[in-house]
Amino acid sequence: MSNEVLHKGLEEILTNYTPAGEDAMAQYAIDSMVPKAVVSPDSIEALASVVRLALEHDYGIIPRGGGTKMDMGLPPARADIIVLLDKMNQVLEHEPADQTITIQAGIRLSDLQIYLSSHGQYWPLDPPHGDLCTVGGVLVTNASGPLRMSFGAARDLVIGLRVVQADGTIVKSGGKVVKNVAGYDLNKMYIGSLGTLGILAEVTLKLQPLPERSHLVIVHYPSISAAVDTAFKLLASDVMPSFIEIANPILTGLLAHQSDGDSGDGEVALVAGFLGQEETVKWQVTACENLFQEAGGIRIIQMEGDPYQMTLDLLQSFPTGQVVPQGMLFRITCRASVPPEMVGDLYQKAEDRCQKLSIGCGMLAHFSSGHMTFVFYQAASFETAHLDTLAAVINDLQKAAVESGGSFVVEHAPTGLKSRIEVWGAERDDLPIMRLLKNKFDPKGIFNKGRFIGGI
Amino acid sequence: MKKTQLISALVDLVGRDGVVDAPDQLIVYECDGLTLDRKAPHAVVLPTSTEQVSAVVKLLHQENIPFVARGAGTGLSGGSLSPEGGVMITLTKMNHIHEIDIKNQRALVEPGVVNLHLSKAVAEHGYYFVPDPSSQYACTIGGNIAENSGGPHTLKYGVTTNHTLGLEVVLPDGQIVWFGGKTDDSPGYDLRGILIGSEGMLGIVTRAWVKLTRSPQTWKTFLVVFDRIEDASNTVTGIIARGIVPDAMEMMDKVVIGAVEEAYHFGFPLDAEAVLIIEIEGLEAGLDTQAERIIDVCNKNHARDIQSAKDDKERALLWMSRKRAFGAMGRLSPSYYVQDGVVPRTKLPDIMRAIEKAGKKHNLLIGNVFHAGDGNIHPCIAYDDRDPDHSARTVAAGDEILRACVELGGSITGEHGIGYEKVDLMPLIFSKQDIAAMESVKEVFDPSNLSNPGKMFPTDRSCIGCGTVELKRTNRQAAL
Repeated sequence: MSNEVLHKGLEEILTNYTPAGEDAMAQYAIDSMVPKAVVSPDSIEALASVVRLALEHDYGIIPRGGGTKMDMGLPPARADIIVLLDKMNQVLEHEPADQTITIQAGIRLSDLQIYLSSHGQYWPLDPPHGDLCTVGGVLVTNASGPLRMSFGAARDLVIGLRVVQADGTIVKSGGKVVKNVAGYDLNKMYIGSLGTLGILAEVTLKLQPLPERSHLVIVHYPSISAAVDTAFKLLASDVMPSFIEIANPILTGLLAHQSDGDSGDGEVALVAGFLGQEETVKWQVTACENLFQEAGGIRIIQMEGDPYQMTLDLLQSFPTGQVVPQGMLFRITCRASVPPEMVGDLYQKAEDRCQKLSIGCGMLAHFSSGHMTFVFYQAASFETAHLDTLAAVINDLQKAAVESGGSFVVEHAPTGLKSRIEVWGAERDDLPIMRLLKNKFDPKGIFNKGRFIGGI
Repeated sequence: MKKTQLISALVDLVGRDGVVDAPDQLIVYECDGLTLDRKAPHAVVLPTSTEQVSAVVKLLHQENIPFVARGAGTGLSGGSLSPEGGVMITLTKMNHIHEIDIKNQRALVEPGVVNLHLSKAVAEHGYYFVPDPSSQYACTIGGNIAENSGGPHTLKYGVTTNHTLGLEVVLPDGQIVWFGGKTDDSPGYDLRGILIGSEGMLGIVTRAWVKLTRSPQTWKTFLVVFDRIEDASNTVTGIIARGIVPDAMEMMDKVVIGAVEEAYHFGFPLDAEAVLIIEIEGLEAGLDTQAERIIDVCNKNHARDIQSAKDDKERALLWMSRKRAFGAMGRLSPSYYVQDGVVPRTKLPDIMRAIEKAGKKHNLLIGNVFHAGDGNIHPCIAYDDRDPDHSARTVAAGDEILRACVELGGSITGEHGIGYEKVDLMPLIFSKQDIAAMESVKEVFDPSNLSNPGKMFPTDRSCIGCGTVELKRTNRQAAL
């Protein structure tokens, strides 16, 4: 089918469709692949009709939320139609007293939080790009933030979905109640699937009341291992932080700078956050400060109000925002999941290799879940020889993570590097089942073909 | 393969003492906690290792013999009911805790480990395993994973899926595969998440990494007494609406209070229409304030009396009374039928009225003991299984209550599972396409349909309410 026919087909099924010009289209390129059409369906039915059109004429669809993770994964095998979810951004059902909400998946996370705050509630997931990303995008990329320590990740905060499948049918999984074991828990299948099994259209979420008080305590240590030791002491104490973050020196310097504090060379920050009732938070902040002091920490500072929010914003936005210095155009972002006791070792390994190669390295760990985000950067573009060296470094870090029982995936990288590494890590023995699942749910490869694990 | 050949092949794989095939011994394995459906398996195998499970499943796969995995058999929806001509793989001998990793707050366990044993094993370090179904003194973690079990204390911290990191699974063709692992996230699809709650239909879990949770510094447990059920329901709704999430919030009505008091002599007020057991845990600092707020909501809703458990012993007795309430119901009638439905929390008063109405309409005694904070109801219908009319009315009332849950925006099961019991109720909440998506997953994991067939999916989806479905329900009523 020629592009003309495609445009005509889209005009027939979408009331709001006008073909975009070449320049506009180029903005939506993924790994240098320019799409043929960009659409913004405004209802689940319209979305389903786009999928049916794609199926009929064998076009590949790339769903797009806030557009913050479009280079995640392997380069796509095809990218014919970009489906924007920006017109599907409504709140559908909200009974505040039930502490649940049903929304369209294209709603911006920040818009959702603003809406909820007027009801004294929030959805306790705080991934990077909170101002740009959509709820649907957060779910399919399994993005998370510091708060996962107390409320879990996306999989723990979603109770129902409505999804457009590759044959254009609309299915639901889960429901609208907080406890439900009817049928297979297919919510889990779609969360973290990078949109390869279906397009999330509607989502029902579990909510939390806004905390009365929010406070954090920062402590510095000369080494990551000392910070990790103290983090373990905190975990084993009576104190129950809502988050425990460990930041490497570059991020630590930035955190200190922002709060007009100091940071010595090579210092690592440990940040403990406390949300909840006033007395509970107060008691914990004092207990936490004492624990940090006894554990030999320096530059102990506690924050609430605006300083708290600014520090949390910096942590939540990592590795975007100001962490990477101006002019560092070439970035690689990776995420690791390891047992908490491996956080120090894996970071040290990365830092040592980066120093030898004169590459910048930023790292933030959501400590208790062993979730680590790395950003590697430099000013000049990565040369071919350099790419090979970098590939070797990533390979080593992946091996170390796997040996500890965990994993290490590359989220963002120049296309040239992607072909030199295993973006999703070495093949695991559950991959054959994943392939079968993809073939069952999307036999024609309509959705995000080629991008996900194993080139699914 | 003839039965004798099968038995000897199984004996070769797991030893003579790992196979049960004498008819009188098989009676034990005829049913689980749902006693109204019974079927003895051909044989029961009790493997002791992942390799043995794999070898047994490979044999059954090769011979095209259906099988079902079973833990302690405490399930309440017939999930481990044997398929016709099937082999039961019972995992109670695989009951070792392989590794307790306190530092990283996780443990590697075999599926036959009893739920409470894990919590006891880590208690000295100040940790516990959150899911606490009422059967936790007997039920196994493998069974919890299959059913995605809950319990009173999952209100605040989530159910089994929120506490399970990775699973070693024997697939229905005998392959051994890990889904997820020791860490919180794994690349690729969250297949662990699909396996949890899949009711043994996608494979057999042989090891699991689960999360351990720090025990709280202190707790407060309240017993709140009401003269009207409506007031108790409104209290629950009011507490949640104020943004307070207690660790547990359970309701018992007059019928259950009477049965429980007779059995355990806790000192429940026999003239009360309902009691709430509300537990808050956490730090000493601030707990009194939280308690005051809860008491305030209780008082606004006309609570007659608010007592708090004075020590660990009293608290333990209170919880024992609650968790063994179903057992106590057995004192009131020859049999009882426990239902499991969910409504949005604001609809609790509505569903309580619907239950009362169903009881009156069918002239039945219904007791209520349930996880009120989650909106997860458990009406417990007393009946005489020797009286076909009584049994038929029991099933009818159960159905009406579940339909009311669905009409109120809820679900037909919150924690007991679909199993065999509710296969024909699935269309109440899922469309043909929804169910087809689930069946696609089943086909991926188990193309030969050998692992626990006949569960979860409706027997004849195209024909709800006509011939075959009615027939099955009539048979069920006869069996009651």
